[in-house]
Amino acid sequence: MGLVSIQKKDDNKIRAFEELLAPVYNELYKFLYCLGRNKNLVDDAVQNTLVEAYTHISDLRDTSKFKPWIFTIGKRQVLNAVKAYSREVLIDFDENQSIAGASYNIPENWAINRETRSIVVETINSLKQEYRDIIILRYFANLSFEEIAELLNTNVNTVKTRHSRAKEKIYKELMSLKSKGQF
Amino acid sequence: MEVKKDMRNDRLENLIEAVVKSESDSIKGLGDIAVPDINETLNAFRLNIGQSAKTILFVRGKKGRKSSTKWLRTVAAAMIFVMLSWIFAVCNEIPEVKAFRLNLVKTLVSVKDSVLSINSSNNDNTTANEPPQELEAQTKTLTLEEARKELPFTLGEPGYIPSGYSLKSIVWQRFPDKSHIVTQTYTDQSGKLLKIDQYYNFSDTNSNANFKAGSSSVREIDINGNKVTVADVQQGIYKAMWFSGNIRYEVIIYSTEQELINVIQSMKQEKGK
Repeated sequence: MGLVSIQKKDDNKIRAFEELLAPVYNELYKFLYCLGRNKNLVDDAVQNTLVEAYTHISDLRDTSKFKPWIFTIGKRQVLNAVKAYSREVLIDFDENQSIAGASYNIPENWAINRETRSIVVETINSLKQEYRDIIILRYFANLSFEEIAELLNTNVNTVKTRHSRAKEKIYKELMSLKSKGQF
Repeated sequence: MEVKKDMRNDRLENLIEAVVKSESDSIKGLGDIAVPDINETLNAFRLNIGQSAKTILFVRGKKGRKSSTKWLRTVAAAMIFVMLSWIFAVCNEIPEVKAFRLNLVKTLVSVKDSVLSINSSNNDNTTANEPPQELEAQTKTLTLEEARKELPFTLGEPGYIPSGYSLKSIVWQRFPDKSHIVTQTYTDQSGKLLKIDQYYNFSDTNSNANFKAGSSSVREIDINGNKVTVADVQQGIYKAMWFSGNIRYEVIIYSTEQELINVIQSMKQEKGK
């Protein structure tokens, strides 16, 4: 009975791990894909993440922290993989101008409703990809400017400039529609 | 998510963050990410971590050629293991050692068909004369019709499943000791899960403790004459376990507790054949 007992014990552990993983799996994959942007690289990173997380699952004392814990492992796996594959350097032509002093903020009493969200989504989708990527990495993947610069193999000022331009566009769209009284 | 390095007191940025996270499915570059099916990912994961019990196989040289030197070395290594095991067994009889008894690994060494196997077991009742058992479960994916015909017990088929869910797979694992695990997996479009496991002929006395571990609240309710243990794993995830005849049932659902109960109430159950 001994050997079959070991296998069944492992099966229980694997099942418990998979049950923790299932509700966060979609979001985890999307998060890692945002970082890696290459299916093969991301698929490998996902597997490495799952294996590392499974191997160290006993380190996790509180299962309610599973999501942030596995996201941290995944982020490290992808960033290491990206460094190893070393992306080509992005050439910046007109992006090196820093936008100093620009501040785009919305009033405190701004109503956040369905129309507002819709405008923000449409504007983000209309951005050039390099700007949209920064919005996604900053606000979905919660990376700092330095981390984004490292990931995209570019300099921090370029990241900040693109971020600022993207914000500017979103701000202007919101202001334009507010002035037309649409919300 | 991890804490951001720079605090954000910019209302526009807060708005952007809220929208990106809540409307990610509508955003280009996020919503169009093709997420692989979780079952495919988990199958690859299981292959990566390996499923078999700890075994070390020493195989004769490549392409079946005999290598007498390697063979002699292998036999010598095996003899050393046997001697060490004997020494451990003798030492174990010393009262002081018994008092500090650890979960020692008993080593079984056998040579069969020119393959030397060294199998590890932490079962104290294992004797040196016991031959190593087959290690792998036979796994088969079944259709619903096949499951109804081929299983040695009644498939715990639910008459009710929550709206939007559909059957993804039925996987049957058969073990050498004539125990079985059958797993029915149902998912909805967003990937939420309903999983029904039937453990037939198992004698896992730790199942109750394992089932309750990690749950924030556990209670027992009566469903169709069975005492069902229901546990709340985390928000939106519930699981249940009960015994009927020589079958242990486990159900996990990413939905409400009521839906879990509705599924269980509708399940076919029969004492094992």
